[in-house]
Amino acid sequence: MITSGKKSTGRSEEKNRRFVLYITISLILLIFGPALLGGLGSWLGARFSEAVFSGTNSPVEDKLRNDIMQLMLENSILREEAVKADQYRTLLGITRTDNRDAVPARILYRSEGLVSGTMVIDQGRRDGILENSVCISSEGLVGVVSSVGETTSEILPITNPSVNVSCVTWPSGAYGILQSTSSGELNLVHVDLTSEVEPGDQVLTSRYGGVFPDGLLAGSVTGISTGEVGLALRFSVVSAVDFQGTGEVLILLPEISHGNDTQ
Amino acid sequence: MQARIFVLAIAVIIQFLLELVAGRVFVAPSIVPFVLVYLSENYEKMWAIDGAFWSGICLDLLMHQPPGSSSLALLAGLYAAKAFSKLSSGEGKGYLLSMTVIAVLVSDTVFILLATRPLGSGFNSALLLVIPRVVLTVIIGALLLTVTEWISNMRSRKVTG
Repeated sequence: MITSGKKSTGRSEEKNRRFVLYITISLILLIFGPALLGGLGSWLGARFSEAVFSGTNSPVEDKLRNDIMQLMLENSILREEAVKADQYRTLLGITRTDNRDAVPARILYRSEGLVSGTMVIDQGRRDGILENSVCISSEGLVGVVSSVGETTSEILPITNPSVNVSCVTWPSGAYGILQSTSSGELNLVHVDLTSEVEPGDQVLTSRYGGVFPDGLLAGSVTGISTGEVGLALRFSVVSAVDFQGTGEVLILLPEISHGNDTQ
Repeated sequence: MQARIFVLAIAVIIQFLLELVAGRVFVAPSIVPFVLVYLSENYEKMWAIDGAFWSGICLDLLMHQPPGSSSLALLAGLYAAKAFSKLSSGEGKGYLLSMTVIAVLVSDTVFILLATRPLGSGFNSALLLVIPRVVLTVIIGALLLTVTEWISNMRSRKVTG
């Protein structure tokens, strides 16, 4: 009896130890995980390609294989560059009237599951990205840079509930705040009761926000929310950007003010 | 033992697929905590700890979530379910489903708080998504338990002739 009691106490202690160990490992991964995985992943990828794609005994075959792979890679790069060139032409049209520097970036991945929508791009501090930089695509306003790492940055899209954007509608000229619900639906709130906003009006960033440059297309009005009690109107808005399909974005760096500049 | 590892692996893959499909439309049921509760109550208790950690890590890697968030959440959920089981007594389907409700509720709440950026900003109406997720999980869990019970009854009937 005493023996079995000791055994169960020992097992219980062992379980507690394992529980604490796994909690500690999970916390460490949560804090240091992204950096660890990125570095380890790239090292493992390099070793894997060395092991799998190493040459055969025939030098001619090796050379031909390498040439083919080189040409295939160049081909895919050129195709990608052609698509990018089209998008950059559109983006440059947006930044031509602005004095900001811009950094092109590609979305590496989006988070999924219960908490979805955060996007990670392939540019970071060493590329000049700063926190609170604005992110746009060829379709319109994407979001804002929430955190910057050495080589990557995280974008909070405007469909995230913590992002509020000061906007104005066009052509009706009504000012409001663009907010998102937890399900990602956009609404333009605190709009004056006397405004004449119609479905189809464009929603652009206004100059009053302080974070976003004015004139960026955020979305378009789809309807007015009825049954709202209060002294302001509320409109439902559909985003101009397809967040699932967007791959290339432009990061507008914060404006550096020069003493004698006039606009 | 290997069969149970295989079952947990299948549960993780199904969870990943459900998050990609049903999660885009509404919410996906949370199958992994249900499987972990079932395995820890019917087999070895280590499933509640080791199983929660490793399945959480796999889910984070598959779904590009902050690594460690799902494993922490599942560990918290299974711990809460275990605490509930110590306070109550029972057995059978209802008992397993009650533990599953606790596990899913706690694990999803902890996950939302850990995975949102800035940290903790998920403490808003996003937490309400947990409720339909719990309901869907209970429905799926009840269905699975009923089907497995029916299959084992059919098999025992065959043996006894």
